[in-house]
Amino acid sequence: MWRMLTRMPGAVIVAVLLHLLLALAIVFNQLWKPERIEPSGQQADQPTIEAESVSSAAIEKQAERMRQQREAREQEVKQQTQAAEEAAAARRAEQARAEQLAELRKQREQAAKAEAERLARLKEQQAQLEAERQEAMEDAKAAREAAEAAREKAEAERREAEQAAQRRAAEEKARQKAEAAKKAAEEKARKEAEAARKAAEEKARKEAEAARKAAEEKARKEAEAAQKAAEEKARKEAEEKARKAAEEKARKAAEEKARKEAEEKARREAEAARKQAEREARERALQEQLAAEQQARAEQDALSRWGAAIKAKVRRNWQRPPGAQPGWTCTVTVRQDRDGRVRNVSVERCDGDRLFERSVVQAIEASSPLPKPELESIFQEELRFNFKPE
Amino acid sequence: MTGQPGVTHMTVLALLHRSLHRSLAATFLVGTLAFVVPAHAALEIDISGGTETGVPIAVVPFDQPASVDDLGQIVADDLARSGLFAPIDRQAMPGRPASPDDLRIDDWRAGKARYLVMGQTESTGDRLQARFFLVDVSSGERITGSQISAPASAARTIAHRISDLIYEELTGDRGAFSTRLAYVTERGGVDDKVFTLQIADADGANPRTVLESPYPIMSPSWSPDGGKLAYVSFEGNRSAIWVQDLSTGDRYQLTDFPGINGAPDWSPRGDKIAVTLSKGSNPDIYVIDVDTRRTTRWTRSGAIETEPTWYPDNRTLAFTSDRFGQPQVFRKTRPDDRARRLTFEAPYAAGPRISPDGEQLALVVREDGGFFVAEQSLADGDRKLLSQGGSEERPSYAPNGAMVVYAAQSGNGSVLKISPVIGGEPQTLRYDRGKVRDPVWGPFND
Repeated sequence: MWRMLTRMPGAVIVAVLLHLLLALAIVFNQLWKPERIEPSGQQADQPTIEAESVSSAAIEKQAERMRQQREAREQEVKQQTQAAEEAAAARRAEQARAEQLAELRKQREQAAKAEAERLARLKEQQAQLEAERQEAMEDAKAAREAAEAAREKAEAERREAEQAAQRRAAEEKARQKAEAAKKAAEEKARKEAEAARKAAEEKARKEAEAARKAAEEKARKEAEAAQKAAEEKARKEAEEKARKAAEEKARKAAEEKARKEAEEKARREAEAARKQAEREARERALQEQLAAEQQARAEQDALSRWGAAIKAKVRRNWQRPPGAQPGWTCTVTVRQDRDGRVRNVSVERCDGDRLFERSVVQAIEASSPLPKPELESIFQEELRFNFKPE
Repeated sequence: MTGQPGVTHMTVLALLHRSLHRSLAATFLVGTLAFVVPAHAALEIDISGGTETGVPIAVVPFDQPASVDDLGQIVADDLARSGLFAPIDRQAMPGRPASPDDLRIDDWRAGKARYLVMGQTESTGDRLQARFFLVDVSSGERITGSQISAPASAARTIAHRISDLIYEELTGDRGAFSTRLAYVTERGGVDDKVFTLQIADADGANPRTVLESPYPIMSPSWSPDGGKLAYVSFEGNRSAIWVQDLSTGDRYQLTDFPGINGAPDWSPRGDKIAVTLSKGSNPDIYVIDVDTRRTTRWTRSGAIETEPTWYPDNRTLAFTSDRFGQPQVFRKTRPDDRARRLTFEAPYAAGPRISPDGEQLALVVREDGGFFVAEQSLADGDRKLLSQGGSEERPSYAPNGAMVVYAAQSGNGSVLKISPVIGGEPQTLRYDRGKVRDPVWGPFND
């Protein structure tokens, strides 16, 4: 109501003023009537015996006249009321139409908005295109249906208003049979009201129809355009996508091929390098093996000679005390430095008397420094000696 | 040389062959070789033979008063007599150190000596204060050293004590240089024969006469405490066994049986004396209880049985018997035991003595027409000669069992000789104008 008020302040003010005018008219009618009736009643209650007598016929005439005047006034008021009501109905129809238009506009806006959103979505998702198109169509259909419903509602209201007017007119007609004079006025008022109503009705209908049609057309066209645009866009995008996919595929295939070729080449090169390395390693290993064997032989010989030299010196220095028994054995471990100097002699095991054991240790100590080996590589810091009397 | 380095080497080669197909072989090889060389098994060297010789020892003349006997010489002689040591000539010594401060060991290392003994002696009043050191020349270490004090008159005992300490340190066995010998001498002509019973130091020095008699004296035997001697005396022209206290000179007659009273041998515990008695018949072995004088007969054969000697177990006797025709050595553990023969393969075996450890038998055997002192193992019967002359008799063990003293003919006279049981040159103790016989080694002085 407020929305309507803000939207059509002129109509509302006119309607209010009309109502006020009607109300004032009724009040005045009421105020006038008692003033006229009450004196007559007093007059009727207070018979004027001395005055000239008034014929009952005249009185009847006068009364009748007065009643007719009253009824005419009442009729007039009724007609005025009726006209006002009809105007109000027309206004309501107008309002309804305006509301329908507003609704349509709103729906259009919504549809447009939905369309815009749909378009936006279309851009984003090619796959949802169809669904959204249908949705747009449904929206349009809904708009059409809403417009239809509004139209039907307006029609129904119109019929209702017509029926009410006809009913009242019929009632009035029946009463108007008795009052011919009134009829003209009535008729006139009715016809005017009718005309006004019809005009209003027609106008409302036409406008609603036009609005509906325009809305439908617009929605349809927009939907079609949107659909077409979406389809076009989808088609173009699909084409673009297909083109790009084809390009990508071709590019990838080329890349893959290049990669495989590079890998194969690298593999072959690595294989070749590996084989070369193995060959070299084999040769190197063989040479080193030979060298190692030669070295080992040389070391073995040197070790033998070294052992013999040590043995000779220690034996020369062993002054075996008397009384050693066959079977006595002394095993000692000797630590020497690089110069053959004896650092430590430890007796591991000795079957023999103390003097025998001492003689063994002394033989080692007396042989210090021990002979050095020919090869530094075979030097051993630790030596073991087994001393036996025989 | 052992085969172990070779084995290691082969293992390395096998590893090499296996790893040749790997490209890693080279690095592997280098790493392995670097590791292998020091991984040789320890070089093992066998030394056999060597020179069997007395241990060369330098006994440096002691820094001592001139009036005192040459202690260094006494020590050197003691050690030489053991047969284990070969004291080097004083002339070959590179110096005369008396204490470690004076010792320049490198000078000595160049020489023969493996050990060095040095010392000094001071005379304070009537006492002698000696100090000595034993040094291992090879290592330069001082092995032992000690201070010994004795009366001035007992200078030689100081030297013998030092000898004992050195011997004990180097051999691990107890030295017997401070012990005494007992023996009998005979001198004079047919008409004025004089027999003496004497005791002397183990080197024959310090002889003391404990009995002098115109009658023969025979077979002395030490009581185990070293305080008494039992012996045979023919006083009154009949044999009897006497016991004499050495410190007091008191003596008493132990046996006076008819016939032979001979060859007394004091048991190791001193409670019994084994003797030979004939009691008018053929000689047999008897055991006399020292306290009760009760006599027990141990042999009953018709043969001559004599020279009983105790085993260290204090209950077994060895003795000589000619029950098989010629003298042989037997043993018995109880009087009623069957005698067991100990000597074979010798036409003559007599004069038995059991070593202090109970494992050896010293005796006189006849071989190649001579009589030799020999030692026979009781375990396996192996026998070796200890004397060299061919006319030796009456061996007696030193209490440590390392030496045997015996009597030997020498020209017109006779001498005492000591042989190391390990073999070696016998040392002659002394030469008397007359004859020396029946030596017997006394116990340790403790």
